[in-house]
Amino acid sequence: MIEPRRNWVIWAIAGLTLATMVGGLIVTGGPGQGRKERRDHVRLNDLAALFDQARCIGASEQRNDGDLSATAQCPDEPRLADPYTDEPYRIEPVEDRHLRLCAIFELPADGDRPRYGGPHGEWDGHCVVIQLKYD
Amino acid sequence: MGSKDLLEDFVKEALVAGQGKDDIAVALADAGWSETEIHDAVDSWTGAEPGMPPVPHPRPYVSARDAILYGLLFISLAVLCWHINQLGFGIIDHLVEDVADRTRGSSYLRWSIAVLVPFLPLFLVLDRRIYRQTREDPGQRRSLVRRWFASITLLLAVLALLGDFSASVYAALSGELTLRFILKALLVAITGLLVLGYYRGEIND
Repeated sequence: MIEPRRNWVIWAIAGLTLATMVGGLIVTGGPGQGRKERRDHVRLNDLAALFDQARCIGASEQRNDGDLSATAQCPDEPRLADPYTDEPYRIEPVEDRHLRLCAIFELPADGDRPRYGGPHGEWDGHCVVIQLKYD
Repeated sequence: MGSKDLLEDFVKEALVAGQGKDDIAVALADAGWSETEIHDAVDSWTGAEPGMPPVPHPRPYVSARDAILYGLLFISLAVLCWHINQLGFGIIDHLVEDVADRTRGSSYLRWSIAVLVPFLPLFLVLDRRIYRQTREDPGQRRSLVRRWFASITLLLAVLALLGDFSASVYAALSGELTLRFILKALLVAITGLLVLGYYRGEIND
């Protein structure tokens, strides 16, 4: 901390720190990317809530017509539209006991892996096909 | 009273009684004290001048103010090292594909950036402040707190380097010595060596 010969160590530590910070900003994409991730996370949570509501309605009313508004047995009121764009989430019955839930995400999924934090099902781009269980 | 105090008091009294340092050293050696202990105790005092008691040589000291200053420096350096590696690992993961490890999460990197933003200036300011203080008052280099924190940091740096080396050997033996692993191990080694370089010589001051 006192000899001049150690000055280079201070500069090296500072330089390494700054280099990793810049690299980290490039990798994470900065604040703009963070805001996109945050909005996509909200959309994923909304799809998860729609998934729960669809399962509740399927189990209690044995229907899969794409109407996920609150009922007497399933009083939750999941958000039916994107809160940032007001675009309604796409809710489409598929075959007998399957439902497709779609949201317009700002960021692509990571390869063929499901979006982290979203409902369990078969993911394909912006949509997930979920299976409902009822008699 | 500790044995060191006992020894220094004896040396002081012997000097006051007019004994020479060589004679005192012989008496202490006869009593079974080691050469290092005798050397330290005899060197604690200058010989007594007529009309002047033995003058103590400067000794290490402890102060609460130093604990805050050097404690903060220690913590800021530790935080820098930890998050440099966290960020570095994330960057390496991003740059170097590894088919055996597809984890690509990056949100934790933002926390590391956020932590480094205040801690890098803090580290630089503290280092500069300590540099100025010790230049203006070299007596501050005798701070025991400073030596303790330097010793702990050196210990941790050496342990990190040893762990890094062991992990590399293990990875080589297990067939996991990928480019990604090598780059990470190098980053840990560079960080550890920088810390060693930063504190080199502190203990022996």
